[in-house]
Amino acid sequence: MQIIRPRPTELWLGTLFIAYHLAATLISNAPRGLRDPLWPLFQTYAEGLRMTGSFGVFARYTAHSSVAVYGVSKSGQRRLLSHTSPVEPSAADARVIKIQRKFVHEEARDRLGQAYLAHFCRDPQNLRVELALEREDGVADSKTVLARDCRGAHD
Amino acid sequence: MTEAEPPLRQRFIAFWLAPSRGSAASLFRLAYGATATWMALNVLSNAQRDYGPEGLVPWSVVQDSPVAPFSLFSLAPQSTLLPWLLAAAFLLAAIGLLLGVRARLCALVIFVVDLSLHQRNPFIYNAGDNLFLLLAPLAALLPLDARWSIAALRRAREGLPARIVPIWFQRLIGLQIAYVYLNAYAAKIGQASWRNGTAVGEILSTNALSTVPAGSGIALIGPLLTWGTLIFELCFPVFVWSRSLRPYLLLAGVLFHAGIQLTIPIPSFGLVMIGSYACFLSDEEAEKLLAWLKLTRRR
Repeated sequence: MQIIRPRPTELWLGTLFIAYHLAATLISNAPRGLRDPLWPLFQTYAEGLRMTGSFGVFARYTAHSSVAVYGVSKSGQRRLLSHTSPVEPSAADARVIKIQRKFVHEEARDRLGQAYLAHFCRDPQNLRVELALEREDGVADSKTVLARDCRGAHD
Repeated sequence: MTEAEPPLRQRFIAFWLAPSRGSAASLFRLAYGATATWMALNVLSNAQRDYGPEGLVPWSVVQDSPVAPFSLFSLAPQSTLLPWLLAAAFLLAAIGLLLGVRARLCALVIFVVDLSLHQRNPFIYNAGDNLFLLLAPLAALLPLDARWSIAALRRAREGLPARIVPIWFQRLIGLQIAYVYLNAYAAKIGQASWRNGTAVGEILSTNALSTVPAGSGIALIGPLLTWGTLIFELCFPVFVWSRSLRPYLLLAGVLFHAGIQLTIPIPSFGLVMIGSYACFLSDEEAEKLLAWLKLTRRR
């Protein structure tokens, strides 16, 4: 078996980095009892530089609500501005869907909801914007869970 | 290495320090660079909406996060110019990486810019985006421009010999990808809907997640797809290291991710995963694959 031996310093640095990265990767998803005491060693690398992550894609999918944002005009007309179940989601839409789906949860609405709606308030057509949870099969069951008055946002 | 060393130790050392001409790393560069270019164009097209001071998420929402200083946005959070500058830097670095011009520097630039974007608006990113980000600095450790690059053309013109380097960082990326599957399997197997075979059917019948038209009947094969996913995610990280089984696993992986890409709008995950498969190839296999792709195109 052929091998290439790096220079000693390079070998040590490379080995240390590989070991550190693999350890950070494993520790970041380890049970809390194991993770917590070691986490200070890896926190900057894992969270600051985002060099680890969890990849349980769709493992815990449970939500069955769509999230819609509506704009209400001066005449009282309500029009759809953004929806998590668009007819043809493009790559760019997927970004909006990702953030907007979080508003199924009250905690996310409390943290980010008003700031998110402020973005839609910048459109001068909107006197008010509303965030609604809807059943996936139509708007008949639409329930407004957050609203923002847009007066003063168009200056 | 002496003959007295035990075979297992020899194999371990050879796993990390086998010589590489950089062909597989260069194939990875082409795939990662193409993905990066596509992602940079997406960032450019939505720079103000996603990262601007009047965008979806104002700076005030993230400014108190302990990771906010890791974003270049912390230097000028209210700038409307910075999102454009970072998007342009992302695009230039992605093109540089694709063409193989100062490829390792380009990979580092992509990391710094993309990290800034992630920390500025972490709410729009998914696991695939996170994988793309963390692969950038790991890629910078590979001989990215050894083949099929402007740098390689320049070296050939000057008559400089190709460098032979240890394969270790290519192996690190391979282990990272294997871990992604194992982590995904571990997260899924704990959920009842994955164990009883209903998970994929539920996901594909959800308009918010799937592009599959309602009533297409795909839910009928849901259990097959659910259990097939679990089997694949468990088998890949174990058997991909076997030379004889690797081609089948990589082919299954390409079909698996192409299927996800076609039915679920996760922008980057499949592209990043398929591109990273280059790191499981030997130099000879990477050269043959590229030759075959070129041959196919000529036909």
